[in-house]
Amino acid sequence: MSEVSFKNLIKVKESLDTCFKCSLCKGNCPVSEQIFWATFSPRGKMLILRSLLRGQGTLTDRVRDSLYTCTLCGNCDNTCIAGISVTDVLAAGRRDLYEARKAPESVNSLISTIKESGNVFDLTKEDMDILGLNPRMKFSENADLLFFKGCYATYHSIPNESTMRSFNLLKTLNVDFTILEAEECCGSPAYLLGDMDTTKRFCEYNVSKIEETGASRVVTACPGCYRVLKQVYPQLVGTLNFEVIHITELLAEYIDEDRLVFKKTGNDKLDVLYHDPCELGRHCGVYDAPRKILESIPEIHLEEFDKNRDEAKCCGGGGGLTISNPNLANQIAQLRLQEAEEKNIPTVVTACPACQLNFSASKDKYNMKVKILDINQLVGSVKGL
Amino acid sequence: MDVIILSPLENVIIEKLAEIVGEQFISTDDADLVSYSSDFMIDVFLKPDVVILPENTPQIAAIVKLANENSIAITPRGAGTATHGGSIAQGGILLDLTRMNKIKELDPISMIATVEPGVVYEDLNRITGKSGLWFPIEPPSGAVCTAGGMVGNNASGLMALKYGTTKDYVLALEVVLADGSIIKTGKSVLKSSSGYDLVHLFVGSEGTLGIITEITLRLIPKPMHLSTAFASFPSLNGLNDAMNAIYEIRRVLTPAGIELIDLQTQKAINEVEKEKLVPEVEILVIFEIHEFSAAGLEDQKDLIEGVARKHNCNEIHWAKDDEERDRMWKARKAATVVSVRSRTSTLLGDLIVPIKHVPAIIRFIQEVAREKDLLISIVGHAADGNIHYLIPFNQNESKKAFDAGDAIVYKTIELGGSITAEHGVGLEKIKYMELEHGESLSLMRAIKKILDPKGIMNPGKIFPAEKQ
Amino acid sequence: MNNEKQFPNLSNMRDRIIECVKCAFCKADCVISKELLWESASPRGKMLLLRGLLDGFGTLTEKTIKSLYNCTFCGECVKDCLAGISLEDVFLAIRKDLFNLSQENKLSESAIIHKVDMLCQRLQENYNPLGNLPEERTIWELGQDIKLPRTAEIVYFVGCMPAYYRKSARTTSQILKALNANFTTLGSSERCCGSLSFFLGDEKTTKELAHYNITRIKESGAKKVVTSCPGCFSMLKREYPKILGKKSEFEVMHISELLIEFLEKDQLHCKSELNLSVMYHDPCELTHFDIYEQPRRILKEIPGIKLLENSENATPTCCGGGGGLMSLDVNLSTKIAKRRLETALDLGAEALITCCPACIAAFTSAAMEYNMPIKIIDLLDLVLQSLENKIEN
Repeated sequence: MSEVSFKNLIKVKESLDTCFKCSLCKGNCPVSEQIFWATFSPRGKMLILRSLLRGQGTLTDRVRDSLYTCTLCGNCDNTCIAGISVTDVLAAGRRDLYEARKAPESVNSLISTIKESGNVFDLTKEDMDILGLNPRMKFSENADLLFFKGCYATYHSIPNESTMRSFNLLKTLNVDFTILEAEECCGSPAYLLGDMDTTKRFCEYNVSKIEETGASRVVTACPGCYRVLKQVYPQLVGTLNFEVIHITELLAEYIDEDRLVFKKTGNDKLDVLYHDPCELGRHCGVYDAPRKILESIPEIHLEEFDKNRDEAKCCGGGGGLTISNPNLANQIAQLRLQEAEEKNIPTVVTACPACQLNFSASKDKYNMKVKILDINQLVGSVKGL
Repeated sequence: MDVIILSPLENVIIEKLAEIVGEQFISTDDADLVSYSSDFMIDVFLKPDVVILPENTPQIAAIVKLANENSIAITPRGAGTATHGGSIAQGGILLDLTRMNKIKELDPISMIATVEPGVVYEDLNRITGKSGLWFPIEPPSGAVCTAGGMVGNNASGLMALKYGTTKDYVLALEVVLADGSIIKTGKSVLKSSSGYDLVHLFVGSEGTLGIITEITLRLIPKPMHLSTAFASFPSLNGLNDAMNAIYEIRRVLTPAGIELIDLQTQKAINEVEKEKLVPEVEILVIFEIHEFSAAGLEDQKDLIEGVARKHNCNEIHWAKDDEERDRMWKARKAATVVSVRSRTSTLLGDLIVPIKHVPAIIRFIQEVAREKDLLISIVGHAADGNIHYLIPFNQNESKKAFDAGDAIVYKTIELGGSITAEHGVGLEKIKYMELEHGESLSLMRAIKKILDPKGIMNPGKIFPAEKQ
Repeated sequence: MNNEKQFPNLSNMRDRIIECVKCAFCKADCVISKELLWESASPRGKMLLLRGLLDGFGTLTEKTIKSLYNCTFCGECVKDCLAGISLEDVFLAIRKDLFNLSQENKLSESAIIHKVDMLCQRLQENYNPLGNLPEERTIWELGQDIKLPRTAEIVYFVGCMPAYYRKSARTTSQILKALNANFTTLGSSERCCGSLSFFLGDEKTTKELAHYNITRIKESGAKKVVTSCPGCFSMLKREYPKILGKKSEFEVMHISELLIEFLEKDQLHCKSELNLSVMYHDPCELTHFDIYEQPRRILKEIPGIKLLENSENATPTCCGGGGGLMSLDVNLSTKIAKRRLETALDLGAEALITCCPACIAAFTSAAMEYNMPIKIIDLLDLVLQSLENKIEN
């Protein structure tokens, strides 16, 4: 049938053949909780891809819609009793579609935006000046540590100036750090949407710029950047000359070394729920560092969602879903936030600007009372620091 | 003549009207009924049944047809800046034409503009001004009043002496008649001897003969050189001095405008504006002159100054710049209302007499004021004989004030004048129509009857109720 | 029927209302009347509605209420009024009455009153009308490298929009820093100046905010308070003394006035590479204090800026955002802003310059919504840019 070569999909043929269609994956799928059509469940996607690969299916709009209606949160991978990585299969399918120019228009236009402007939000440095969102501080030139800002944390105002908060936090901790003046997108959105060429281009650019600074550690506050830098870059350009860590890991390190101590302030106790960002938790295994930070703040009492750590539900904002189906992304977020309301815990802390953005949008849309905080926002505002 | 009985508006009619103009542009909400319940100065408040903002002639034709079939009153309205209550209605349909504010054609070569009735006077001049052209009426309400309202009332302004009144500029009209038919009368030409002049039948008809939906206007070049002067006539005989000066000046040249302000009004202006805008003298005369060359302007100035001084003018001050000119006109415009402040009601007169009788009528007004113990302030377009007097009064003085107004009007008629020069008849001057027009009022009624047999067009205006 | 009891504030204005001669001159420059053709939307229409309410001739329909809130309090009608009536006072009086009635649950079926209530409630809860968290008021300080002393000669009263939208607060503080001004802020203990509650007729909240802020300013010991928001400026300078019934113990200045002081001391040198034809837009609340020349003088100091003026600049026109209109009817306020931008484009301006965060927000959203080829620039940004050029050179 097809003008699509499926050269990526063929590499995961074994996974497709192995799936015995038990449908248990549906149980933890955030999309399936919202859409009853089996077409949109992980199993449905597997069936679709299998039929495409075998030349038995037709690439209709609905098929494309299904393949891009996924947050790539990875809950299905965890659930799968056959041990298949469903998200890998789906990623392969998306790559084939994208390369054959069959991806949905919203996806193509986002990718061309990123290619042109170097960031997801299509903002230039001048735009940032106009918005008043550029820092006015001096950065070290030859520091050992480089802070990788990331698009979501930097360009969007809803994550509440995550990047500026990180700067202030690092300065407070007397961390000697530098930044890339001309940092470009890490490549994560392109990676998730199936454009490997663009991912590679950004990867090569950022790696060479980072290497120019001579920094041996790269710290980021964005789990999307973190995962791509840590896991995808080495696949694309081989072993890196620098270590990649998430800011929560850095802070946990400082706590261990007693360089970061939260004193009692006599403020009221604050109950919080920690939401594991998919890319930090399930995909990279960072569960403890953020919890260690929260537990070491005397006034904070940490509670857990019913589904937490590797079972944590997605915020709905991953995998490009905010682009292909923003309403659905918000609905998924609402479900997660509802649990906080039901538990009567008014504050949800996360460690991801994208989660914060999607939660906040959902909160406004559905008029919910929960407060959404990014962990560096919380730490920065603790007076006992 | 039959007695006219108009019907109340039923919901089914309102629904049909809404179909014509769209839900958005029809309202029976009390907020709108109250907002359209009155106009400038007059102390009458009447609510229509429904307010409609039509967009074009076909809509108006459909509305009028429907109203005619169901004998429903229709009252057209521009900006509602007339002073006589002509654009307010007790019940029926109130047609606000301000939404029809397009300039349909501007022909700078023929110097002609065709406009919809809702075009605001100053907006029109802003556009024509780009071609150096001008519709020169300059009513004090020019920033808001509409072309349709000006035609309906045959409005004029501060420059009528030189430029005439609205009627002198209307070449052609499109009118929706009472049966809903649309006629065009007149052509876009400067002269025509072709049959009856129906254009000027509609000019000044205050919406009682039809709804004017398109107006073709003649434009003139805008003079480049302007100046304004305050001339003070301080002697107790200042009125005679000023008028003698004006008579003499008028025989040799035509200034754009000559205004006259009495001492009482001058004092009120300074007090209210909290700055000394005008000198306080027995009679203050404002001269406005327009010329196409600077030299011509200087000649006019010299001539006016010479004559004025001959007639005991002790000071004549020409504005140094535009800013000062504006201040001078601000003072004149303020004169309309300064004296009415803090009174609950005002009677505003708009009489006109042959210019030789100006001193006589002003003296008479002053006499009446003394006799009735009323404050009457006088400002006027002295050089064309049009005098405005304002009688502010509180509730307990109303009989006195109306009696004074009647006396002044009777005197006006006696002197060969007219009861209204530029404001129109509306509700408030109906009672004098018989007196002014005598038998010719019957002819006016006959014309009305032909054009509007059911009497739906702005009923209750212009004509006194007929005696049974 | 007589409704004076129901509308006590309006009743005090009875004389003003009766003095209206209904000439409609107020309509000429009214930005609302330019957008909405209904007579009820015009200032004269409102005066008639109020007269109707007082003497029982009119009823309080939803449209009447909407009309009374369709006003930006730009003050153009006051300038045009033949009878010299301060229409703003009248329109404020009825808003006070309506607010008080709503507190007695008397207007619960009105959607507009409900919105007014909600806005005032949000202000009471968060101390800002934007619904942001009070403790985030200092968010603009992030990434700025500015050390604010505990006490200083000048208090920069930041205001809600500059603080939470960050831009204006950042620019202003960087300018003050570059000029070596001895300044501080009230930090997160600053609260909304009360401009919104003032215009929405919530006297109690306005009064509380005024007392609170005055106390904080006094504690700071500053002799001078500077604002970058004309709304705050107007409240602090004119309304606070009225609310407290006594003169302020400190001087209140708009930043443009302070910059003129520096200019006159020859401490403000502007250098710029900009080559821009601009129109300056007068924020209404600065014109109420006759601040026309100061911003223009600053603009003229910046080389490369070509200031275009048209005759209509003499009578400033509103951005549409004032009087709470942006919160109550954003569509209407955006249309008004669009019309103003069209004037600038007709004049051939590449950018519209102003110095009010509310005007900037209104214009920016209009330019975006209607895709208009014009830049909206804060005067303060131009100043900061040229100051920084100077530092670098």
